[in-house]
Amino acid sequence: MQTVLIHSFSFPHELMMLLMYIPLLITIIALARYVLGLRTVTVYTSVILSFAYFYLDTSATTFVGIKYGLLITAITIITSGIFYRLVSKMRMHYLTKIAVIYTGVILGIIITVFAFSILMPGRLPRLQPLPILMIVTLTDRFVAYQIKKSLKTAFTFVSEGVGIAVFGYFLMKWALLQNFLVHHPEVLILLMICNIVIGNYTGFRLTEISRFNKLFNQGETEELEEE
Amino acid sequence: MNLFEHINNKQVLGINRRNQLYIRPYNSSKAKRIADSKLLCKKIFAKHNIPTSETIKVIYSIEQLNMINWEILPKSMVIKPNEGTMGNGIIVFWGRKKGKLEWIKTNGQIMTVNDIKRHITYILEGRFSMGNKNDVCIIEERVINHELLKQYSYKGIPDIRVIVFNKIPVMAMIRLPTKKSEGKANVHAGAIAVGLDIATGITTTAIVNKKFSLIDYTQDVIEKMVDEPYLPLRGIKIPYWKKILEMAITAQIASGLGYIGVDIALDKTKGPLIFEINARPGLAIQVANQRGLADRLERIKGLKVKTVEQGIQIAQTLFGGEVEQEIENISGKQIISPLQKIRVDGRKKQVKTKKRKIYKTITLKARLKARVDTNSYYSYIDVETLTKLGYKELLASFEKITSDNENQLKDIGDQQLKEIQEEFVEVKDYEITKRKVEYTISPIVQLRCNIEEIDKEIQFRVRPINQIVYPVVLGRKDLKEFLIDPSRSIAK
Repeated sequence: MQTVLIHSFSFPHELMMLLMYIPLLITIIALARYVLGLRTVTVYTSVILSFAYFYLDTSATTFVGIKYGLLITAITIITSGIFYRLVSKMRMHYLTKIAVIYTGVILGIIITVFAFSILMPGRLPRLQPLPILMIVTLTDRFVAYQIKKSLKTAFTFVSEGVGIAVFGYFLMKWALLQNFLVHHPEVLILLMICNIVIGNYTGFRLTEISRFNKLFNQGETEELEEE
Repeated sequence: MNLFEHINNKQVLGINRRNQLYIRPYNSSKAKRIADSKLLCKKIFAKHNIPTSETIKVIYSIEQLNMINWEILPKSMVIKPNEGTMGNGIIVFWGRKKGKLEWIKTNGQIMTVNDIKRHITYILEGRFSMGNKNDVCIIEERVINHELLKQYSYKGIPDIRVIVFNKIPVMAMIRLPTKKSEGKANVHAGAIAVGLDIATGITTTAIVNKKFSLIDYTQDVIEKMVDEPYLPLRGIKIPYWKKILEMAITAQIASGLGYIGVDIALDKTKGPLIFEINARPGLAIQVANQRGLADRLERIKGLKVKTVEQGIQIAQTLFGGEVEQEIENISGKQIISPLQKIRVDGRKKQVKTKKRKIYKTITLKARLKARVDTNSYYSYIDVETLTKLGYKELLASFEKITSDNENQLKDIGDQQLKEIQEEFVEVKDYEITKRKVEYTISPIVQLRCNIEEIDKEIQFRVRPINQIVYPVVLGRKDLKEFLIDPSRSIAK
């Protein structure tokens, strides 16, 4: 029925797919936060990274997008980290600092592209500019976490966010799931129910179990003693 | 480890359970807003007569910042953002350069007025605050560390955290700043967290962040200070404990929050002062106490508590008593190892100084390993050590006296003691021992000893080294002030 609906109204296949993936990815991020205990960056960052990797791909069957996407992500994180360290000691206005860090990140990317064209001429595929822009905006989050928390926290937050984004990317590449989502918009209802269930989950997050492991065991022995 | 075995454990509180069952139902968003703002908190504290550190100045805007008369600011002060989190953006100054507008930070760094102004601009821009909105800067008096806690903190003020729920203190800990945390009392930054017995305020178990860990939430249980590994963390009694509990409960009632973490600092002269209140207190307190929060919270849910006093009583009967009578006795006793390094002071001796031919008195001292022997009542010292300490003549004068009649020896002994005491005041008594058929006599010498920085006069009986193996043996009679920890096999 839905298939008929889509075809008869000439609903663009790609747009439908994109729209359906957004709530799915966000649900996965929620699951990762409340059940697994990953401290993801922001919902926006992870979703946008998934999409960026996806749109870097030149065709549906290759995995070029994730390869170069992760490369650019790594360059972004490393250069913004280095330039933040340089700038943080200087006496400058906040936005000018951010601008310097961004410039450094772009410089890093340009150098890498140059290096590629010199070392392996003709190997670098035509990369879409817009997804690269989407990846570079990660700098913002990374710098903000470094200011408010620490380099280590910023790094764990961002790497966990990137991890989820990679997972999202592979979901998006999965043709079977793509087709299923496009033809079954009723999945949205299921996702809502899913989120309500996760929203009421009061058990431990998986990462907490290792954190409190000793306390659990203590509790048990205490009960035994009372008997 | 089975991951799913504990997923529904009802003793330990997880983040999800805390948020769903305690923070959301009991902490209204209005009350949370008050707790997040240090200025609003100060107002409420003042209204309820809860002591807090004094505000020197509040800066709302850049214009106001430019009009400040820096001359009138004191030399020791704290600059902090109104809505800051986890101690970010806080700068503590302990001194000011004389005649200059320059302040000295706790780490020795110097900040000029321009540096401080820039930092305050960052605060006003909201760089250190929740969300990304503009903030207000508070300049307040610096808390001076309490004498007792000084040795346990590195360049910062320890922070006592009390979790209060339904007017009852549920759990408490003290966080001690370390070298690694750079003076911050924040566990994730590397501070030590020590659990506190809610009834008595005596420290129990302690934790510190694991040195290497992928997840920065995991902590190791420790027994002694990180920076000074010979300072045990167990058994410290926090002063003003009752007042601290009273303040925490009053703060909970005043704030309108149901579930709250109250942070209290101990000032040298003013006693306990409230630092801040937290509407989303962290869960590390459970690890510090090695005890879950969830079942405690369940037990007191819905209890009708009328007064602060009643709240304390309930807490003390329900959750107190982790520190048993035994450990109470520990506090104040020095812990030593079975092989303990000690210093023994011997005779005073006149020595000629090299250049001026002036006589100088020095005390002969011996630093040695003593065996702590609880089987023996008396303490012993070997002949050789005593010789080294300058008692060669003393030993010689006793050496020749032997007799096969014990009573006869007693008379000789009494006389000898009188004579010898004129020269050696350290000789307090003598001892008659039977060697094969004949009786011998030896002196009992009282020497000043230093054991783990405790000075003590100890009466030693003299024995040859082959009888006692170690140069000094400490017996029960002289160990009353100490506790022996067998796990400390190697002396300091």
